[in-house]
Amino acid sequence: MDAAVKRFIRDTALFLTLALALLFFINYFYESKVLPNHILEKKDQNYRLYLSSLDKKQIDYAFFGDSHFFNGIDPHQINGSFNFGVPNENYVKIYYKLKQILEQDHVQVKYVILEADLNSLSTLTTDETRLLHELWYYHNYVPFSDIVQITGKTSSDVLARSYLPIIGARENLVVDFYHAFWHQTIPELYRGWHCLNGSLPEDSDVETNALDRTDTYFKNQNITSPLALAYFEKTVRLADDNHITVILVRSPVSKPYDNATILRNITKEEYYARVFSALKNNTDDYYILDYSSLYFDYPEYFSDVDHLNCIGSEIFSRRLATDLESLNKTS
Amino acid sequence: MLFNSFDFLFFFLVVTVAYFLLPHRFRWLLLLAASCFFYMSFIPVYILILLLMIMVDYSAGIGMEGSKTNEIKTIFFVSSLLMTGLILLVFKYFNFFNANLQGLASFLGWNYSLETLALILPLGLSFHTFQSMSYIIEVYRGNQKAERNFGIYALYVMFYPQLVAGPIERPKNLLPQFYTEHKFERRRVVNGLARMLFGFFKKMVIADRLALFVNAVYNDPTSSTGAPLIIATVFFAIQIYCDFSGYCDIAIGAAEVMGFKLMENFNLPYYSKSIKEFWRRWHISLSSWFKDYLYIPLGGNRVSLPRWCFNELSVFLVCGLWHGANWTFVIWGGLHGAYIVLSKLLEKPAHSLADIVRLTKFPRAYGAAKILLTFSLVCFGWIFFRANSLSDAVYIISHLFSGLNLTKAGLGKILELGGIGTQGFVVLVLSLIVLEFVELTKNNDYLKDKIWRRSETLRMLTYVIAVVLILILSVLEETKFIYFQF
Repeated sequence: MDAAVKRFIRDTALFLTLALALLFFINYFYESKVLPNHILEKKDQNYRLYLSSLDKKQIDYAFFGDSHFFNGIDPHQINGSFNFGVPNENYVKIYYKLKQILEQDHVQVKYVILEADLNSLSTLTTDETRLLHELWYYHNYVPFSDIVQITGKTSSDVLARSYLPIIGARENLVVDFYHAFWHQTIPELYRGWHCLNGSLPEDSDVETNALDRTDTYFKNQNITSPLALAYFEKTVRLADDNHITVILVRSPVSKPYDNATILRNITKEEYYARVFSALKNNTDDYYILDYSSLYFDYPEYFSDVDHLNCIGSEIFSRRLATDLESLNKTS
Repeated sequence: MLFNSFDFLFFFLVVTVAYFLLPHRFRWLLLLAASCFFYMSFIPVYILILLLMIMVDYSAGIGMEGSKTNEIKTIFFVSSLLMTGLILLVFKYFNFFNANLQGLASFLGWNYSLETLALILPLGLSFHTFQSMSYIIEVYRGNQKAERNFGIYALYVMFYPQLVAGPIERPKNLLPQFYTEHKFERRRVVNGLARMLFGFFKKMVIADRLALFVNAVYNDPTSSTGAPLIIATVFFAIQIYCDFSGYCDIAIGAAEVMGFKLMENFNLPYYSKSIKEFWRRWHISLSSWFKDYLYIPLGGNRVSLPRWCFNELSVFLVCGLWHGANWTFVIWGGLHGAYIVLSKLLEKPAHSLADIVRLTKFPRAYGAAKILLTFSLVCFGWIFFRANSLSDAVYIISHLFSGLNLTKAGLGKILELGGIGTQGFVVLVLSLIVLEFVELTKNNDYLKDKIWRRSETLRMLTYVIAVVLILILSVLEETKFIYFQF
């Protein structure tokens, strides 16, 4: 072999060794110091802890949704419940999470409570940055071929991102390391619930905030993503196959938020007709509970225009517990 | 298979290793197969269009060379150009012309109902058609011998590093290189890889990060006024440069690793002191193509002033249309043509004005003012290039300076557009400093010879850190290169 080729191979080997060593070194710290504090990991730890505390692997009420549930459903008030809600959740993730709980963890679930808010199925929930973005986490739950198909990413990309989460971590990496080493801000969870402090300010900013929030959810977005709707149906079917009652819940929102959705011409009736029809087509065992206007006159229950604060969450969950109890008796 | 994907890295590695392992006589076959595979990874069936074009041009080249009379030669020449033009028309321009005819017919009250074609534009069509046309024109002019080996000719059109977005090569430069045996040269291979690395940095760290902001503003321009529109336009100027020159760096670097020398496409274009100079430094392979095959045949600048104005405007209008079948591109091209015509007509008054304000006494300041003016004019043109529609462009221009909110809070809110945020902005600024440092010092002999080439450890560590930083800081959404759409 030519001396130049030999030298090149030697240099390349050294280069790759150094590059990979540096990459794995940073990745190791990321995985061991940053990711355990990630909300998804915290949630998992919380769930495992709760499961281990049970005599029988049974959850009566399993709540699935985004931050509206994550912050709004207080399991203190609902016996036998666990809040699986996570900010920026979508129905693709919900489906695979429920599948994991039922088929891998062999947990018996009596009621699956699904969030059916206006933003729950929008295209925003399934855009590239939300779809299955945290592949380091979701590759444990979602089959590899499904990830490739759903995300449209190449196999090599999926593999790289699944096992080397620092790839594409971008500038957040610095912030994450800062928080992990010097300024930990780990959300406290109780059976998956995290309560928010603060309350709605009583000024004109609320109207602007409500419009901003509505724009964030719906501007340039389709209110129903075909992918999200398909996975909503799959989730309902999965529950039905496992003889689980499905309960659709519309979370309480503030009056300014509701006004903003009207101002922005969000077609609620059409949307809910589609969602309810998807529900009915896939199960006969369901209930629909609408609390969206329940606290229009109680701005003090909200942390922001569409999220309940600690007090609101507690009061709402108590009300929900009563309703769930009466549904339980009926069924 | 995009350059900015792990698949491409694997593909490149396999092809390059195989290339150096194979005897010279088989290498063109490997490159041709690799190029076919590369092209077919987008829309496989479209390779048939490419093959048709290659076959027609290959036959036309041989036909022209064997023609006994000029008439027959011209028939081959025109047939080949018509064929290429037809492919371009069907896939790229039909719907544009059809829509305009429909608009005109409806305005005149005529009945016109030709349906639009639901066709996806073949990747890099404008690039490889121009490369084929370059061959045909050169053979017709007698400057180039017709290529007898069909495989080599196909490779000239399909060579994978520059297949989808150039540089648009000339037969005189590229064809002979397929016959030359390229030995493994460590320094050249390392240089090529380093150039690719720099291309990835430009594309994935800078261009794609800027795209987050630019897309947020330009895809919904009516939500913004003033500062966001100005910032998005300047960001787009940097984005398109980093995107396209980043692509070219990867293409030129990948070819260099295997021993091929592709033509340079950029030479610090935003440091130009006039629009004419800008076009000597921006997308050089395209501007020189237009100069050689359109501008000079039209008479170039050796004609009367009105005719010269016509020539310039025509070339730039065609250049605009080459970029895309949309009025925004035509106006962008026309605007650049108008800039050049006006700068010639106003050259003396402008110089006198600079004299009056004593700017000419300070050559550096005068030069900087020219650079700033040129950059501003180019940015103004980019508004049409990037806007999704003519009405969007008009909105952006009419709201550029209205409602400027340059307070700290206002700027903070602006940076949240597209999710860049303050940290992302810091990364962006640091990346731009690195970009400028590398680009401005790449021809500095002292840095190159006394520091860079002497310290192997420094080079190795720089490359290692660069690779790791690119992997971490990249916006990994596999965004296409802007020029792939052309």
